[in-house]
Order: sequence, then C-alpha cells, then structure tokens
Amino acid sequence: MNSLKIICPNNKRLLKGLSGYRLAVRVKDPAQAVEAAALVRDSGNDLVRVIVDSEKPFDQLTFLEDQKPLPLAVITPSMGRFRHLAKGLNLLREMNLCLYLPCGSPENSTALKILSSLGVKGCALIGRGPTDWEALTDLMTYALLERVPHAAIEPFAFIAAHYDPLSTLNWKEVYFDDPAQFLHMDSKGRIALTAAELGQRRFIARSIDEIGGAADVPAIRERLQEWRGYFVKNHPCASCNGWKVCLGTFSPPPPKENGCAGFFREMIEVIRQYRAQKAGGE
Amino acid sequence: MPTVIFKPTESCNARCLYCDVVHKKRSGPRTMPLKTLELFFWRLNEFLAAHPKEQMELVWHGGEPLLLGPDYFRQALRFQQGHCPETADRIRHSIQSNLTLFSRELAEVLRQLGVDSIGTSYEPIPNIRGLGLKRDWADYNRRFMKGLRLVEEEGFNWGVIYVVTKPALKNPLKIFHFLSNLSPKGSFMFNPVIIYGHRTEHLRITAREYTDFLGTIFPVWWRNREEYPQIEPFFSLTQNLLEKSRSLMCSDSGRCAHSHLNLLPDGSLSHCGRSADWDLLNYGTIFEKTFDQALKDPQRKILLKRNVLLPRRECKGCRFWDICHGGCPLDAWSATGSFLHKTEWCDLKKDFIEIYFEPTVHPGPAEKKDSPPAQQKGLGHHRPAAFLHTRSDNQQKSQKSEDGLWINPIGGLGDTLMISGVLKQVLENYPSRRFNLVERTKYRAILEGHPAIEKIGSPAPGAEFLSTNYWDCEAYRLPGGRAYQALASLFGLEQPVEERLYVPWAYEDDPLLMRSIPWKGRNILLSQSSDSPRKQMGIRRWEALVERLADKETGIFQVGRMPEDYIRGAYSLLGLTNPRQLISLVRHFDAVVTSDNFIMHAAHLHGVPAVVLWGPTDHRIYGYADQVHLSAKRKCEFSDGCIGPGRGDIYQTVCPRGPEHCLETIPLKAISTALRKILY
Repeated sequence: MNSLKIICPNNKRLLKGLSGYRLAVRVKDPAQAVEAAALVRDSGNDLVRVIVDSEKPFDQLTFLEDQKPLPLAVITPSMGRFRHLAKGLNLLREMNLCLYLPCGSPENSTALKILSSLGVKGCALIGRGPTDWEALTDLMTYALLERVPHAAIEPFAFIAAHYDPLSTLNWKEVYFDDPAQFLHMDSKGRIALTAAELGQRRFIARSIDEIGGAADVPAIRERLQEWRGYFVKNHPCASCNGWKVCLGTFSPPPPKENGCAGFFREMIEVIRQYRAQKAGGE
Repeated sequence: MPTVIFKPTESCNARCLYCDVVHKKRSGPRTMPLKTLELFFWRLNEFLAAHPKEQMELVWHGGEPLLLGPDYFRQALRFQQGHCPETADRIRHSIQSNLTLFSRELAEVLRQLGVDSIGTSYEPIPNIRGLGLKRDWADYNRRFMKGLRLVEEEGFNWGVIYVVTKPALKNPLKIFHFLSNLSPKGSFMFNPVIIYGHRTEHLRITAREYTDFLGTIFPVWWRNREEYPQIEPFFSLTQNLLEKSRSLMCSDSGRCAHSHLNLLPDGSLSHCGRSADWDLLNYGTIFEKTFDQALKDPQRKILLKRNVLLPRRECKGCRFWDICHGGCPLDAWSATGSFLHKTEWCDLKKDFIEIYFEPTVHPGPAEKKDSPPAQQKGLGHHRPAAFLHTRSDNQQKSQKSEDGLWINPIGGLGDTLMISGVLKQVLENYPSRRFNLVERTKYRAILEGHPAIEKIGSPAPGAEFLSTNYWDCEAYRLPGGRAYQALASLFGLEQPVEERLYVPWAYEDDPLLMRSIPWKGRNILLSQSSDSPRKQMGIRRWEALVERLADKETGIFQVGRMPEDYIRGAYSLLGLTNPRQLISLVRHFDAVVTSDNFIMHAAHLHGVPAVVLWGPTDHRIYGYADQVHLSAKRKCEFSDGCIGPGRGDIYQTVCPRGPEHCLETIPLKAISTALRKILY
C-alpha cells in the first residue's frame, strides 16, 4: 500500500476505481459520512478520515450515534450557538471528531477553548484569511499549558509533540496539506499537492497511477524543498526565530513582531515550558 | 596529526570582496599539474610509511577546489590508490568549498576519497560574495543553495564559516537566526574579516566591534544552546572554560609549529595559508623536500620560542593563556612584524569572555536566590572584569540595568573587609566605578559610606549583579590561589594586588567601654569564635592558654558575640561591641590570638601582631604575611581541610572527631611561645 494518503471527494465511481490506498474522503454534511466511509472500505481502501467540509456553523450540523466509530474532521466557519450544542455534547465527546475553525476572530478561538474544556477536540485553522494573533496566542497557551483536563487543540498539540529544535517541522499535515503525507484528488482522479491547488485546478498528475512514493515525484520533491527559496532570496522569514515552526507559511508579507513572528517565537517558548512540565511529571 | 592545507588551485569562480586569492600575483601555475599532484601523494606515502602511527589530514582548499572538476579528484584518488596502498587509510580528506559547483558526480568521488563533511562559507548580505567578475550575488545564492541541497541529499555533513564584516554589525541576531535556520543541527563559525587592501576598507571591523557582535549573539545561543547549532567560538569556549576540555583551533592551540603545512599549486610548501599569502615561513617545495623535512624546518623554532616567551612577557599572568597561547602567530606578524608578540585578537577574546561570556554563564546571586548561603560557597558565579570596561555603545547599554551594578555580599565579616579593600582598589584604578549594595544589616555596618558604593537599597527586578563568590573562582582554586586575589579578580583587578584591607569610616571607640577596660602593661586579645565550629579550638584549651599567659603585667581580653563561650580567666568583652567598635577596638591591643575569623582580618587591618590558629582552613589562602600562623596537623579524611568549595553543607557543623579535632592538636606551648616573641 502506498504510504501517501489521498484526499478525494465522495464520488462513488471514483472511489470504486481506487483500491489499496489510504483515503480520506471529503463530504459536505455529516449525514454523508457513514455512507462515504463504507464506500471507501468496501473498495478495498483504508479509511484515514472523513472530512466534513461545511459552510454551516458547527451547531447546525447533526451528528448521530452511527458516526461514532468514524474518524471525522469537521471544518466549519464557526461554532454557532453553544446552547444548540449543549444537548449533544455527550455524543460529541464520545465521537472521534476534531472541529476545525478558522482563527480570524477571537470568537472562534474562544469556541475552540470552550469545546476543548468540554472534551471536544479542535483545530485552529491558521493562515486561512486574517488571523487574530493575540487570541491565537491565548489559545495556544491554553492548549499547551492549561493543567485542567481538556481535549487537544491542534495544530498546537501536534507541534508540541513533534517540534525538534534541531530540525524544521512541517505541521501542515494537520490540515492535510503536507505533500509528503497527503495528495488531493478531484472527481476526475487528477492529483494536486494541496487543497488550495486543487481548487485552483493546479494538478501535478492526471491520475494517481502516475504517482509512486513521495520521493519519486519531482513536483513533491520540489515542494518539500521550497523553503530553500527563502534563503536564496534572503527573505526576512529566513532570519526569523520562529522559522523552524513556521517555514514561511505567512509570507508575504514579511514576519511581524506583533504577528506571526511574535506568535511562533512565543510558541517555541511555550513548548519549552510544556516539555519542562512534562519532564517534571506534571 | 599533521595537517596539509592543500591548495590544488588558486582559481575561483567567485569574487568575494574580502578574499585576496584571485588578486594574488604568482609566477607558478594557478592549478597544480597532475605530475605535481602525483608527487604529492608519493610524498604523503613516504611520510606515513616512515611514521606508522601517524595520520595525515588533507584539507582540500583553494581557490575553489571544485573548479578542478570530478576528473581531477578521480585522478587524485588513483594516485592515492597507486602510491599509498598501505597508508591510504591514514589519510583523512576534508574539503572547503563554496559549493556553487557541487554535483552528484563530485559527491561520488569525494565519498570515495573518504570525505564525509564539507566546510563552506556563506553570506546572506547582498554584494559581498558573488560569482564572476560582476560578483553576481543572486546567482551565487541560487547555486549555493542548490549545492547545499545536493550535499544534504548525498548525506554529507556540512559546516559554514561566516565572515563578519561591517554590514553584518547592523543586526547580529539576524545573521545568527539566518544561519541557525539554514543549518539547524549543523555547525557554523564566526570569523572576523581580515582586510588585505584598501579597496575593501569599508568592510573592516574593529576588535571591539567583533566582540560586541559575538556578545549580542552569545546570550541568545547560551540560553537555549541545546536548541541551536554548534557555534564557534561559543562552543569551544564553553568546553574550554566550563568543561575544562581542550578544543582549540589552530590559531589558539600554540601547537601549529610542528603540525601545519601549506601546499600551493606550484608545489611550494609554507607553514599555512596565511604564511603563504604573506610569503613567510617558506619551507621549499615538494620537489626537493620531504614532509618530514618541511615539518622539521628550523624556521619553525621561532613559533616554539613564542610559546616560551609570551607567558613570561605580554601574556604573563593572563588567565586565558591555556586557551589562547597568544593567538595566531601570523596575525601577530601581520600587526607587529614579529611572531614574538600576542595578536590583537587576544584582547578581543579576553574582552568577549569577561564582558559577555562569564556574566552570562555565571549568573549572579540574584538568579540563585533560592540557594542557601552555605551551598553558595560551592557554586560558581563570578563576573570578572566585565563591568570595568567602558560601555560606550548603545547595544551594550541596553543589556545592562540602568540602575548600575549591584553587590550582594556573601560570607562573613572578614570577607566583607576584603571586599571593602578590593573596592577601594577598584576605585583607585577606575575612579568612575561605583556599585550598589544590597541592603543587608550585616554588611551595611562595614560598607556604608564606602566611596565605591553609590547606594544601599533593594535592587529592582532584572538588576545586574556582580558576585563576590570567590570560592569558585579559578584564581582561588588553583594551587597558590589566595582569597583576596581571587576576590580582586572578580572585580577585574589585575593580579597580584596588594592585599590591603579598608574600612570607609573613622574608628569608633565607645568611651564608656574604653574607660571600663582594665588595661595592663601588655594587652592580649583573644578571639575564639568563628561562624564555623570546625574553625574553633575548644574552650578548655583556650582556658589553659590563658592560664599560661596570665601574669600581673598582661591583660587578657576576650571579644565576640554575647552567646559565645566564655574563656575563664580572660576579661570578657563579649557582646559589648558592635562590628565597627570591635574592629576599632582591635587596634588598642598589643597582640591578638585568634581563630581564622573576622578578628584575624581586623588585626591585619590595624597591623596588630596576631597569632592565628588554623585547622581546616589554610593560612596560605587566607592568612597575611605579617602574622604568625600555627597550623594544626590534619589526621582526618580531609587532608586538604574539611571546609572548602563543595563542602558548604558541613561548614556550620561540629567536627565529629571531638578531642581529636585538628585544632585541639596545636600545642599550647607553640601559641604562648609565638606570643612571647611578639610581646617581648
């Protein structure tokens, strides 16, 4: 089985044509999740995730008992009203679900914090539109240093677990956007490196058959080395002390002290504290 | 291991502003002919065969050695295989390249030669390094990064030299982060630019500028050094100064005399790259000289002579000799025209260590506030000359507290008398220096009014401290180290200093007390007490001493604090004096018999003769030459004395040996005899 994971639409004909892959399937509504998952598995593929990409607020989505075993990534623009969610909290807690919210507003950061405190895993979508760095910093600090039990908040938990100061970290796999891990497929089977490029119809292959391992595909290799361009150009990001975690994700514009640079620098500091806490057995 | 800096070509595809290689006038070939290359490997084998235990390091250098192309390296490999069949495994190849020409083909042959690590250099600041006559910076960067990627993909390690020029001084941390980000687990080295001609004068930096450049980066690196690459000179200094392991570059090792050789394309041999550049220390050519002959060339003797002369002259007393050796002899020649001087970079290194390194790695007591005082004796926080330098630049000012430098003394009142003396000497040497004293009753009594003390109070958060913990100072721990000298070193005074004690106030006599003391013809002061019970002789023996000394003409008086044991037979002044009065009182006596304590120092302050009883501590460290020292024989497990660095936990405990406590073994006769010699 290919180590690359493919994210594909919930397309019956497409999924039936794929076999022996590790697939994440994209749906618009949780109601489609069970059927899509069954389709993936029935075609002889491993199900990596069901990605629910909805334009509705989270509170408008309906989750049912039969979705409990499914690995769900739910992307919504906002949480919606908490009182609508309150009655379904027990079910949400029992589900293998992660809620993705964009972090352009303090409200979404607060929402992730609230849901985390109630045991629902969340993920801050950083870099999708404007970012409220202040609120994001609070959220990150809460996610990593708060001692009261709470569910993980990504990408902070992932970064804290994988950050190696003597290396660089590409944590976009949390967003399914790391070409070393994920490729994106459209309904015709064409392959793009990221979800954004899929939307822009920038394909690197006409079908998955053209793709071997990540190391065999020049486009993937080049993408993975793209960071070197910042050094060639002497871009300000290359001299930023948040670089090892950011890798220029937010450029242009150049890193700002009260923006991405300050955030990632603080994050590295928080990770040090987080690890010190863990090492201390706390 | 001998090292050959092998320059098979002096051609280069780059025109880096500060590099002289392409401008050099030469009569011979720019690239080494294959016949000479073959002879080189023949000579290598000749040397290694004659020295079966030796290895030879061969550093491919240039020019740009990769300009030679893969075929040249393959030919070198063939020569090695052909001429060195038995010795090739003792040839260690490494290479210094700008990487702009690196290719998979070259990677293969370099690997076959045994190269596993590549040294390079890089400059993110535009228009300093560049390819071709136009010094194309952008193209250089593109090719360098491409080469670097290949180097990593091919599994080579790499390290980068960064040459610090004037433009780099604008933002040292930017350079640091750039290089750290580019090579998170690699290594890089900062070198100051060496200017060869006037055309690059605008790149020149002063030693002080370089010190400050390093000093801006060092605290950032030090704080999270396990998260940053191995950076020189920081890493080596850490090893050399803190871990006491020796890791010295050729310029600092003092050992290049018999180890280095430089080989140019025309086969000429010189000492090193610099000597070849400056036409010095030429050892002939490989056509007529063996490596053995070149490595034993008589011209090298001057480098050995330098190692003997410098510690007696310019480097005399320098505490960094072991890690510097006067620096690179070629640098010395460049600045003075003679090898027999230290280099201008010596002062740079010293400044960097004292201004930036030591204050950073040895935080003051404020940062160690949780440590109990007894344990602090075993901890090392010293901040030497660091703060005695004039701080002229804003950058450095911004790193220091606006409030000035604070002293938070530790130790007893005797230590405070020494601090007071040292402070006085600091003021004499540096009239503008002032310190703040942390408000503590014990020390205020002695130091209040000191001309070197600006104010006494509470330091603000983040205030800068100068530690007075001399116990962990090298000048104290080394054989022959003296407490006063060590303390002076912490304040940046050059040793040896005169050991003068000082109090900043007029002596105070309590008239009532003075009238009540039954003075006699000869008056002896006894001071039995000490902060450490281990430094005290038992009270019974003091009483026996009094019995021996007592006569009608001799008054015997005891001083100390109220709760201390009374020596029967002595006139007790216990608890009747405050510290100032006690210090003042000592001067009225004809002789003092004392333990190693505050009164011992006070006697020296007044020049009053003293017999000092030494047990676990050493008069060679604390005592004064004008005193009589009676040292007990130590028969316990602490042959060097039970009190000292790292043993703070027993300082305030009683010796478990009871009547066999070392101080109990000093013969009373010896004490009384010594006293009589003083008094009669």
